[in-house]
Amino acid sequence: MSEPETRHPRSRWLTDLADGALTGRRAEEIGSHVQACARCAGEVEDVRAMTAALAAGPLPAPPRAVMRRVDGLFASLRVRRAAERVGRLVASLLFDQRLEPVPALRSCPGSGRRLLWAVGPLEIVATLTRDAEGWELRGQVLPQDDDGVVVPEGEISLSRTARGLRRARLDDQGEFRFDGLAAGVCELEGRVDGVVFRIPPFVVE
Amino acid sequence: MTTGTHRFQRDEELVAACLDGDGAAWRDLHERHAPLVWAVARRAGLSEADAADCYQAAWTVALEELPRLRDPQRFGAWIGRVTRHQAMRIRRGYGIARKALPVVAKTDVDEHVPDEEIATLELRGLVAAALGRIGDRCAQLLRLLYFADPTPAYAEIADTLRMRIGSIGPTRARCLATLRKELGGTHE
Repeated sequence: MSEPETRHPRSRWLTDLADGALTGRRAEEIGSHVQACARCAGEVEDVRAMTAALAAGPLPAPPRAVMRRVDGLFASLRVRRAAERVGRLVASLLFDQRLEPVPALRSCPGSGRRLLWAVGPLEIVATLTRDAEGWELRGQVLPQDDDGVVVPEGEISLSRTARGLRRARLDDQGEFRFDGLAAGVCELEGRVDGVVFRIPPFVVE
Repeated sequence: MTTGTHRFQRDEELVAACLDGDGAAWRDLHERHAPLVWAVARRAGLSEADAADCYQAAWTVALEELPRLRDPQRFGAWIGRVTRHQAMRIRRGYGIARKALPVVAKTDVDEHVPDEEIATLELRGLVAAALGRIGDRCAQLLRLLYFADPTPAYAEIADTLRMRIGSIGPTRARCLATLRKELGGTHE
């Protein structure tokens, strides 16, 4: 649509047109101008969208507790940025079943403590369960961007154990496993798809 | 409606301030778009508990991707899409319990929150925030004319706002033009 050489109607009439408040000859004249004029049609369209938004009103805010957790993310970002400057990313903990004992989410009930971290383009999901010799940690590394086609490759290592440094290569599903863990602080690091990262220590108990 | 010190700044300015380490800018960016993210999470059919996780996941992604945003002016629309993506993953049971990843077909898109609906929700939030920047008189008039249900008679509006009845029409048009200009600054 090109702009005709006629003058454009005042905003007052375009607003009235958008609100359906124009009648008679004025409504016809302005209506036909708008049909031929991209600029005025755009203004009428904008007014309609704005008044619809005004009528619907503001959106409700989320619960305060939910908002507080997000406010706290920023400080941990600064810690991670500092870590990045020395070339190593720190994963952020998105979920720890021990801290949130509500039966939420889509986890299998009663089968251990679920943990979820995100770092760069990856997610690490893990479950901690008791076994004969102490604890077992089973996990999977997944790409956040979910094509489902490419499985991440690399390894996870566990430091500070009685057996020294332990390493687990990711299998063809991107999974890893450590068994016979003693209670205490667990420190994990990873080297997956070129991303070098560490997971903040957590307590096995 | 955000009442923070940054309420007059556009999204791209808030994003830049966050990247400079300004924690208050993050709180204001968060507060500005919190209702949109929550609305998308709920509109995708998630329970309140799952919506809370979706909400946190979306903002975590936003924080990680902040330095790489292609269009910080359209932060709202972008985080709306991120939220939709996170909601879809939760609905499919991804993230915690999934095992082998099935291939996600290109046609397998969640239609529950289409782009148009994200845009509509985004506009509601932007308009609500913009009312805080166009002056009390215009904000009051527009609320009375469009939000109040039922719409008060012009005589009542004139009385409440101490205006002549005849000036309601022109003032309304002026206020809408101001609102449109204000939105033009922060939205497209």
